[in-house]
Amino acid sequence: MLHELSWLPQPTQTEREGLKQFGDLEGLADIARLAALSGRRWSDAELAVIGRKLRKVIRGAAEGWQADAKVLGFSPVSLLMLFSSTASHMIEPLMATALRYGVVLDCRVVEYQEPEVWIAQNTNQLCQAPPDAFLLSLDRHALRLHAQLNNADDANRSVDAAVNRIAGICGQVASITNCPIIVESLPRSATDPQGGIDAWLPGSPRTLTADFNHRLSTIRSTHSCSILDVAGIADLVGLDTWDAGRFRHTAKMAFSPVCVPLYATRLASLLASQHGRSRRVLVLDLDNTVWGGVVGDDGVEGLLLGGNSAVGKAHIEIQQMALAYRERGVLLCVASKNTRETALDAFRRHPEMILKESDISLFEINWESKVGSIIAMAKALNLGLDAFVFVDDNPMERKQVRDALPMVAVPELPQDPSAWLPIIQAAAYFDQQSLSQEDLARAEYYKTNTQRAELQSSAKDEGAFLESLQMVMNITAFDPAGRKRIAQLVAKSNQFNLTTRRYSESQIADFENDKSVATFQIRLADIFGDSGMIAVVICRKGDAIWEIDTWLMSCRVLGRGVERATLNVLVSHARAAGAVELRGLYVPTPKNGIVVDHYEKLGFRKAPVGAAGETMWTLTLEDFTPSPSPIKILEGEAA
Amino acid sequence: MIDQTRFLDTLTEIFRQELDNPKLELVMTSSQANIFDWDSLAHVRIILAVERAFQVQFDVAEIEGIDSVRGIYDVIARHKG
Repeated sequence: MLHELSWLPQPTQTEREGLKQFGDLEGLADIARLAALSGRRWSDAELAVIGRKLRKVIRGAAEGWQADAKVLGFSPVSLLMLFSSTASHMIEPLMATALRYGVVLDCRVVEYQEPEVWIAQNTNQLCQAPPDAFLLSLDRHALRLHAQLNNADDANRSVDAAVNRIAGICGQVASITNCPIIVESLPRSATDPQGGIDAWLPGSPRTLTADFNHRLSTIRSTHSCSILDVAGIADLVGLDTWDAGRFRHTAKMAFSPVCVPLYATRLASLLASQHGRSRRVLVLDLDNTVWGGVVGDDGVEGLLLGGNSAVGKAHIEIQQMALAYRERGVLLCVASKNTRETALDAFRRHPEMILKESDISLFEINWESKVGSIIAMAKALNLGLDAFVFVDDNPMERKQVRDALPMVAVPELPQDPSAWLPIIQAAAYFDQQSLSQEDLARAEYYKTNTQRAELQSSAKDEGAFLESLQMVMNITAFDPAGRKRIAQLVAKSNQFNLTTRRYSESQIADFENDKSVATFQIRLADIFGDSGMIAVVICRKGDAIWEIDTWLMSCRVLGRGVERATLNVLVSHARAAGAVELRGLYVPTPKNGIVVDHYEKLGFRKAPVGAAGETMWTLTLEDFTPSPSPIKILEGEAA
Repeated sequence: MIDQTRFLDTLTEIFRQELDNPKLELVMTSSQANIFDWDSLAHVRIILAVERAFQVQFDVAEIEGIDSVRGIYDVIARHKG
């Protein structure tokens, strides 16, 4: 059943014993040991045990444990949950689930209070110690969503009032702190009339709920909030399973406790994506995954794909699923144990193939272990292994990858391919909050990138190659048009990111008008196409010293001179403002090792500094001469 | 019939976990009156854990009516027949 998270493998007997013997965590570093166990289909009791251990170690941790968690490779997130219904039973399952996403969650729950009142009474506290994220959950009673039957005006009034109320609370929070706000869509209820007339009658609970959800989606952009699609979760498991039943009145729960693990999964996934931890690559096996049969044995003609075969049609649907994700900016790769020519031939030639060779970013077709293939893909794409999802019909292959690469998501799948899609879709691996132009164009980008690579190998020297690209860099201050993409880069960039400061979209909006910062959004285009926005820089303007608060860049434009060109622009702005020095900080994380010497390479001098591995760098503007760049720079409005 | 000793062992384990008190001792006469942390919030978590452990499902009246270890025992015994 989907609410049981059937895509997660069952724990083995050894793993069950391991959890029993786990004991208390000795310190924050032990979280890694616990995280290794987290990707299993634990029972509710076991999930609570994991959560409890986490809660204990966080409560006992010293001040500043968040920095230690980051060094260990986790994203610490403190979540404040304001619920009209009971939520405290969700804390431990939520913390355990978040660990699966690399998030160490510190949860605080406020129940049964009127949000506006509680927020007003706790404004000082929120101001001084703001959470990293704020989740608002108001059930339909709390929202007073009710109208006279068949009265469209009354229905509109009720829906508007409810949505406006949520918008108001978002505004109230936003006036105190900049943290991201998450609101929930309203699920339908099995306790409402289920007759056909209710589906369209104005003022019925069903139409009120549908209208509410529709109107709620409009405040995503106006109030910079994210929506946790609780309505979708309830639909997925079925209203009967979702219904709180006896726990509605005995425990004031909004939904059945059996659905808590799935709710936790969706919420953890949302929080993870806000912190740069979303999956972006789908790796597919070929035999009995992309097509039915084994091409090495059956030949192209013997494969089951489309046509009159039910199995064949199931595999067509699997290909269509992959293509749909490609449309959303997910990269598709193939990892297959086959003779390369045989497999590629079938891929190219089979008349029923939906996937085309050009849809695939990388083919790793060999007789080696798929573990090696996936590692090679991670290297080639410059992405962490936690960005990968691996789909394979063979339980042995799945186990091998899971054991060797626990950060790769490997859904557990039944024998019958016609049963795969609901399971893979329920896992929502590639959940994202928005779709940017870059997402839509990403797969195209990787195609044209191979063209760039071909050009590079034919150019006589580096300089000539870069000149031949005819790169144009567009650099302007932050503005509303670039806001969402800037926020996306700030949330997602892990590798070329000097300080890994995660600003929320509303904080980015604030920067637009903040005279004390110089902001830069950088786009790059060349003869092969437009790479879109590929770098973001934020400088804090001092009288004499400009401090580089944020400098991040997409890894796909490494080695093209973008860093030098960017520095040229930063220096010219700083000079124009009368500054004499640029200062940059490097904050090490497990993922940004590639920029440890970024400032050194640009000619900065290392300054002595304090905390955990951080390095401070200074550049005296007087001594700096802009280096010649093959990139043409076009500047928009000055910062 | 449910073995009382095994029942008490299992229930003690549940109470220790849900009330976060590894030293808690339970007897058949333990109740909400004499166990300080057994408040309404803990009650629901205990009910959920008891349902999981003993593979039973309590109804609304039973959930509301239980306020002692003896009470839990009687309801489970009734379900198990």
